[in-house]
Amino acid sequence: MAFNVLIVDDSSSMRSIIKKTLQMSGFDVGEILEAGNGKEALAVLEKEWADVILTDVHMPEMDGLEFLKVLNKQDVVSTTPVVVVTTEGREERLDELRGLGARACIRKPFRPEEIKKILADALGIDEKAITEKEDLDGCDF
Amino acid sequence: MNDIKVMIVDDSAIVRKVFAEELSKERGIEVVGTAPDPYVARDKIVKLKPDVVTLDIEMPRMDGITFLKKLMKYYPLPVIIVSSLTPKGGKLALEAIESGAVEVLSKPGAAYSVGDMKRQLADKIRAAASVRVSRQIDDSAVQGSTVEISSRALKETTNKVIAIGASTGGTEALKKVLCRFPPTIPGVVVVQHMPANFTTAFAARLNDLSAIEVKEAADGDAVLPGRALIAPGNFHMLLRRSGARYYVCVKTGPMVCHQRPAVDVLFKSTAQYAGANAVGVILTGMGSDGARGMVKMREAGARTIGQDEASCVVYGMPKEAVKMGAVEIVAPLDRIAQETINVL
Repeated sequence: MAFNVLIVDDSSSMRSIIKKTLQMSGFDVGEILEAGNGKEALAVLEKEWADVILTDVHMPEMDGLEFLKVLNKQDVVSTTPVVVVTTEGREERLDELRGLGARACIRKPFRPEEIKKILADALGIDEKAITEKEDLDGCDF
Repeated sequence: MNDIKVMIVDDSAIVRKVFAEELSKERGIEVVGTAPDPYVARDKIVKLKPDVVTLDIEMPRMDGITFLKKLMKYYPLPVIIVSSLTPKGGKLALEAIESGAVEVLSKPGAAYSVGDMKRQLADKIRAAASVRVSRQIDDSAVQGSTVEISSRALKETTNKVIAIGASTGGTEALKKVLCRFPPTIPGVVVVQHMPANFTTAFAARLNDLSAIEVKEAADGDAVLPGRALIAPGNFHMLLRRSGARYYVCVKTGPMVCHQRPAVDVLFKSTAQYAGANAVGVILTGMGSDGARGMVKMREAGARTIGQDEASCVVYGMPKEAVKMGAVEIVAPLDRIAQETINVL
């Protein structure tokens, strides 16, 4: 099982760092999709199947808040869990993001172990249970 | 012809095993893969490119409807929902059809044996393989306004009855037709091939959407203007007449054309009891159920309408009816409600 992750950040070096951290985390990463802001992210989601979204807040053209607002109005992709990755520290701002449906807010920079747990929580997966199911599947076929 | 490639998505290892084994025995069907959850399913669908997917929508931890919606957005393909017989299962199955699934099947249990299920599943897979799956679900017609019937026409319609039969793709087609009917419409009787219990949720859903009353039929229910009766899954529904009033008889009996309820049973009884006062409508669906019954209706003087090939999800039942000379008017789905009212 692998999960497709969409990384939304206006800094390409930050996207690379997040990508690398993800790959080091042991989280089962499938395809990694990238976008430079909310608008680009929505365009990517039109074509590509993301299982979870990691988004920055401060971005040009369409910031993280606006992105969440638009995403919530979409039919199919609105169910994709979103984790906010930010340097934003103000609690009221973070509350606003959570109010818009962000499953978690994680402060940059973050450690691989942190992101693995947060993504598993956001996807609602119990990693142990899934490993067992996989084994069972292997027995059958 | 190449084998139909099938993928089975179900969280139960036993179901995956039984389905895969049983389906592999069917000619023309090849099970290319199985998956215990949506994420594995997605990866395998991308890799193995199946023609048809069977999906259990009641999977713990994973939301089958969300998965289905995503699948229809990114990799649209025919999906058959395999669900339990619970009321919740019925509701979910209906939501799944609205989200783009082409068929619903109940898991083996009280009403169906594994043998029944195997044959039904194989039939549905063959039907689904020929389905054109649209990327976007068009609900605009449902919001379309109802068709007006003049008061003059209404006076003459009190002894009329409209009988409709449908199968694969029929749940959405019926929605489009029934939602167009005004409250002054003569009594409507409907057979939609569907497993037991799903018809309850289906009727409730149509009742919410339509201007007319839509009810899952119970034995003895009166056929009244402004009301549509849907035959319950696993029972036949027959039209009867007592004096000036029509009512339905809901009862068990042998399957007809592999179906219960069968459209033929409804249409034949309609020919017998309503004769020239009936309008028969045959909508999208695989197989030939309804064609013979429609011939009887036509012979009894009823007006008959068949859905055209282009708007059918599967052009089977209307095709057979046309072949047998039973269909008087062929119309696209968007015109069925209007044509029905025109011939009253």
